[in-house]
Amino acid sequence: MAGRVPRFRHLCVAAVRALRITFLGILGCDAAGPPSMPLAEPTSALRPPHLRGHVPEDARVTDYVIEASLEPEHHRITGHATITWHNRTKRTVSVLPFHLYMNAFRAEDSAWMKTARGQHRGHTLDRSVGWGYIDVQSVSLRQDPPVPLHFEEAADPSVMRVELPGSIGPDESITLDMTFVTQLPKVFARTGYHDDFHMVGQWYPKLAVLDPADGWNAHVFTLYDEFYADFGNYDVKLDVPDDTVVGASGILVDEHASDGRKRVHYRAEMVHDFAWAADPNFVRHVGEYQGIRILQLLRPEHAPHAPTHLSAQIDALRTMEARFGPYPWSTITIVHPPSGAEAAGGMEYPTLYTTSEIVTIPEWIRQYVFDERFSGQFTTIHEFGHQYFQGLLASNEHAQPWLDEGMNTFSNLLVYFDAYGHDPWLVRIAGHEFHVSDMLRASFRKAVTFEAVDQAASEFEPSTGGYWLVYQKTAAIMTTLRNLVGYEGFDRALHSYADKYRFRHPRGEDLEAELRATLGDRVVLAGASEHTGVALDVQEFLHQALRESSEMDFRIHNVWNRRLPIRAGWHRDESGTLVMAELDETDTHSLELLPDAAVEGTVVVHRSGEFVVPVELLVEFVDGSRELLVWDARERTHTFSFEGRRVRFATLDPSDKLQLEARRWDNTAYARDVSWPKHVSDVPNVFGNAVEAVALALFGSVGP
Amino acid sequence: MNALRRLVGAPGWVLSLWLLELALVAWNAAAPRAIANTAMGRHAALGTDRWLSVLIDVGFDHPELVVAALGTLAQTGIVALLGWVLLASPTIVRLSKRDTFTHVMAIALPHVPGLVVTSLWHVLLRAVLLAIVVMAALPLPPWAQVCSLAIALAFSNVALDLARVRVVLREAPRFHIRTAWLGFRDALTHAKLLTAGMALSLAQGCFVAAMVWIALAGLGSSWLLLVARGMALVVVVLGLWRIALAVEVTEPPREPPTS
Repeated sequence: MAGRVPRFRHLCVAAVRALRITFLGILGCDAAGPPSMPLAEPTSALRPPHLRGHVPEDARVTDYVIEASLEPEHHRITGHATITWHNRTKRTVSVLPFHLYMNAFRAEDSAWMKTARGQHRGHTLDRSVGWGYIDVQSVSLRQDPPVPLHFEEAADPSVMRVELPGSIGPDESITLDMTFVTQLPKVFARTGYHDDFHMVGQWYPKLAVLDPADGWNAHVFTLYDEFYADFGNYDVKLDVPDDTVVGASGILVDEHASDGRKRVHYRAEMVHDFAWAADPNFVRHVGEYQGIRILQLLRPEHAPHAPTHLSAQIDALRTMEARFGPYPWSTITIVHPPSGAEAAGGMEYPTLYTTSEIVTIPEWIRQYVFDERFSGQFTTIHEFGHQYFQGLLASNEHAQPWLDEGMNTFSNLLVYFDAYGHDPWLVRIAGHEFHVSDMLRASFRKAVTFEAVDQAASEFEPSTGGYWLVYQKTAAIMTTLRNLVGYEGFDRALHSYADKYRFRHPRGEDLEAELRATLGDRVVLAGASEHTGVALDVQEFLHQALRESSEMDFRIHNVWNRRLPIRAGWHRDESGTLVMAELDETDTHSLELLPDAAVEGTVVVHRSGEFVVPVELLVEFVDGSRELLVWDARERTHTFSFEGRRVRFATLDPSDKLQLEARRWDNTAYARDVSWPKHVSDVPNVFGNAVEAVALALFGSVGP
Repeated sequence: MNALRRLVGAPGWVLSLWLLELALVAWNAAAPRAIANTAMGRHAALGTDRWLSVLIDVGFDHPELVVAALGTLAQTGIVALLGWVLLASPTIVRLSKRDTFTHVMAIALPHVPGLVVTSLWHVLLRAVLLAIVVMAALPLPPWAQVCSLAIALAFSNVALDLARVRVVLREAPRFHIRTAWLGFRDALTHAKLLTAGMALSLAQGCFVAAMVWIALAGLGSSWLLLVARGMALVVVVLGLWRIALAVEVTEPPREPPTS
């Protein structure tokens, strides 16, 4: 008997464990914290062919083989790169331009620093120790024997030219060897170090993109610029201290340690950049989604938030794959910059990105006072979104930043919609919700008339805050268009665009053409009846939205009811004689006493902004009936008259389709002569009551 | 006579103070109401439950609303500060004994300047105390810092009551810092009073916090102002009860009736 009890207990424990594993497996849940058994590293940088979608071979243009060594005490990298470039164009070239992005941080006379003056998103360059640079020391043509090549930095050190001894024609290839030293800056703008933490991005000479039509795209790196490069394979061997935990683009191929150092070998395929992070204090949190290894590198104090980031990452993957096609790579690495290195957070590289931390809020405060779904989570969703908008749809981030930042921000909203329902709340204060649409409107409202969205990153004036329109206004443009033309058609158009331009360099006009091709040039508004004849001109909408700084704004100017013209007075009869018509009994009645048939309801609508777009108008009459109209808004002001009907109120854009319209408080107005339900819609009362209640609290807090 | 009985015995005084508070605050809040009325005209927020976004939307175009709201709060703070200092003396007298309004004011008014000065000295001492508490609490976790601060504030309130009552009932030196200081000492020497007074003060603080929360949570509700006004009465009652405690321990013993 004595031996039976423990055996029964063992059985029970085993059964509970089995049930737990099965249950969590069914739910796809991570138990608590990091899994005890890390997932095996994938053997291929790309997912299996049936999962990864189409990967065109001709998109592979530039391959890199890099060996680099990190000196952590000096925050310096010494490297050797072998770069093979395939000329996929019909052009012949004799010069290869390279980006030396790290030179932006070399001195205050770089184009980047001239604008930034050592400031980036609230972080400041430490001028005593913080400078960074990349020094290319040799360039040679790989052949036997190697041929040293002449190279020199351009007027701005973020660009370098290498002169070739001959020319490279269509379908020819060339291989160069380069040695370089990269000094990392103390991180204040995405890349650099903080104590033992090293975020190594834009750290090697990167070949520019040869456009078949326009030639080389080798932009000078300025404050709002990001990056542009061709797809290719990266084979990178890193030599680091052996206690360092490394995360990098692509897959870990192998790892060897000796003499206090270790060599880690990574391979990334069909990507256009390679970044890595190193920190001896990192711990790993591993997750998985349909065979994609999701590795988070973070300090132990951030570990409790890893499951939330993983959940956000999986939400993002689910939406992005469904809407924009399969994620082609087998890994995602999420780097959490430690405290003090927050400036490295919120940046994307192929298959690797840096996130930001979730604000810790006690549960009771979340429940009753303040809750949010934004901090950390949005960064994770946004930076992962970049794996599509520009990792996969590799637009020119310098020339058209809206195509990656803006379209990505729009896709982030879709992730939220899919995860939480249409237009979910992002912030909740004492039970009052601030929704995605509210946040978006508040964010672009101030700067909307300063800048157009579709311009090069270097064109934005920093003091206007106009660059942020690239993110928020673009998202609002796409949301508005989607609301106007209907979700189904719009989503189909975007899916088609994403499918067509995977591993390509799409331009804005490609997206616009795809939208027109799928939606048609003119779209009768969803919800509007065909016979109104009011349709949206898609190209006109996109032109105004992207290339003009006009504001979308409507206003109910006036709503009132008045007497219809009476019959009394002199009129000519059939024979042409003037005949007097006498007053009817009701002609002298006041407006309230008149029968409805003798009244004309009037609504005057006004387009306050320059942006011309059809807008819906909902009119409610005193008898409770309603009418939905569409106004083409071509004129500035229009009067709608309703004979024999008294209007109670009118509201513009009642279904909240126009996300681009930030000013909405004047979209509804009640008729001047009609009493209205103040308790539900009276802003002065709501505002006054709130102020009075807080004032009462203040009075009480002072005494007695 | 215990403190609660003193309070219950002065219902007219309690209600008058409350109604005065309501009137002053309503008067102060009239400006933002009027400005919002002008700004909105016949426009309305139709059937919304998103009041935060509506108010932000209106506030963007009408920053005068924000200025008016902040002005109202600043004005209310000043009025409350002055009002409670001026009313402290008659309140103490009324809680000390039942008398006609005229007699209460006749006794209380000469003490008003003394109470003003004592209150100013108290502010100085309170600032020193709070600075010490804040510095001492720095290594503590945030919740402990908040608790320390709340306890220090509650303690200061009890000390202020005792100092004021000393001036009115014990004819303590009216303009000397020592009177304010003795308030702190007295608080420490009356453990029962201190405990009860601090509990009442903390309860007041909780109600005030709840009122702010209700002001937000109840945005757009018709009950918001009624509840806030009701809670303001509770805050007044708790405050007067705390003062009544100070009166109870400070009041000189009455002469036994001579036959």
